[in-house]
Amino acid sequence: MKNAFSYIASVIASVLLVFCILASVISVIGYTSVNEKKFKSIAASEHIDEKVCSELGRYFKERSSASGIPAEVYMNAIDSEYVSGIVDQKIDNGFHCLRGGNQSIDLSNAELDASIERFFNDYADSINYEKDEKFAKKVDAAKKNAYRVISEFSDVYKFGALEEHGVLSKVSKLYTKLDVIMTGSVAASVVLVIILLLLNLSSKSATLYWTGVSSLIAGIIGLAPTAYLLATDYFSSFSIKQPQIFTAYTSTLTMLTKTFMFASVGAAAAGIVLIIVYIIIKPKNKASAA
Amino acid sequence: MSNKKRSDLLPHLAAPFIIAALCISVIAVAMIKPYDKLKMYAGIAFMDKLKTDPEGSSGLVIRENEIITEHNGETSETGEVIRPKFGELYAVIKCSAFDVDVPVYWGSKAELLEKGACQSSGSAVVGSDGNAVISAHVDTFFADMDNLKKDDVITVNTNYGEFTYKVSELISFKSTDRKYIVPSEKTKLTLYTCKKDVLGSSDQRIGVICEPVGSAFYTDVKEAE
Repeated sequence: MKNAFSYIASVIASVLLVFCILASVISVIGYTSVNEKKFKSIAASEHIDEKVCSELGRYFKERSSASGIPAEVYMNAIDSEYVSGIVDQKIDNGFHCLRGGNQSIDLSNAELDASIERFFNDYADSINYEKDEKFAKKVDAAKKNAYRVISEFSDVYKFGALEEHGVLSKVSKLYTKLDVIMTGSVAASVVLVIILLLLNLSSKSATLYWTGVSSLIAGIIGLAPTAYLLATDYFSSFSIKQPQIFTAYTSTLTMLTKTFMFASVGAAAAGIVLIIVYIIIKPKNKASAA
Repeated sequence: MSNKKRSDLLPHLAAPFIIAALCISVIAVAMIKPYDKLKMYAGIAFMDKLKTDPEGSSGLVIRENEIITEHNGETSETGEVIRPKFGELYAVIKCSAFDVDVPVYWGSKAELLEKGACQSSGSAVVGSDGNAVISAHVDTFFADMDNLKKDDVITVNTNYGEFTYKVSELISFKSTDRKYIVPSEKTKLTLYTCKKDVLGSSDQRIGVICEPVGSAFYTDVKEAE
């Protein structure tokens, strides 16, 4: 150790480098994995459309005693393909909102409209009910309610609730800056490595040591919580009542956690390699490190 | 091992532990606020909108209304309020100290408290004379209550007008103490929630009393009706 200043400065630079590496990893994962393509692929691979259909069937069946409309009136016109389209539209719209935009969602289902109309007409005919304006309003209300329920159940990532309460606009501020954060943190990491190099000019190989230590610690900091979350199956303990929302959230969180864990393992491995290289190189330099 | 080598080795062995300790300490401190925010967002997002059967056995009918939050038409300082029905979404609270816009339901019930803030049906309708008392859960819609400061501006949008208040007093009281939530002759807005307590629900309530600073009744909306 030539002087205390270079050591303390290297420690501080290494601490900052740890945060920059973590920020780089998180922002890269956020940039590459938090998008509509990934979310839709999770929804497809987890067969979320089938879960939505099953929950819709259960809901309409439960409601049938109060509404008098049998679940089949709705469910004969709703299939996985239709629901899958709505789920995808909801995801697309959620990410549009995150980017500051908005797009309309097409819920229309001619078969569903016809099924509801047929049921009301048959019922009115069976009791000789006059099909007046009030009748038309009731049919319209039943259709609107059906689409509202389908829309709610298909919003498996709860973008609607998040938007309604102004949460999405807050998250949007961060999400739209992910590329800037990613570039900034990678650039800051490079700058910090250069600073470490300048601080250890008398023994340039020591830069490998400090960079390696930072990378190793960043890896461990990322690895420890993610390994815990995955080993304890933490996300399964979430108390989300609707199965399609539970599956969507837990699958996405598991995917992100696994990605972060692998990236952390990579960072830790890179750190170990750098430290080993430093140990191998160091004896060749006569000057002491740091 | 020579003394020189030993003196070199020790700082190098200590460095990873020092760096790790510093980083973990910084992360632990820095994560407190984001963790609370995340908990609040998750609480709001995961509230199941369809959990309460609108015509179910509880008899509670929840009415979700579109609240006018931006109005460009004619307004008047005086006007008439529209008394909402029990379980009706009738107002939205906006405030720079709050991270979310808070929907206000008329009436107080557990199901309504899961969907937003609740206004006691015994209190004054926003825009009318008296004490308008609104409460919400501290882990969701009123999570930022302790961010409110004196003179902060709070806007309450309804479908009959927009009402602006200024925080005049920060309050703290026991759940059994009703002095702040009882009807009053003075026109004011009282917002309150439970005090955050790591050991569970708290007997203490915290909140704010706000005095009205502006009323804008929508005259054209009323005419249209």
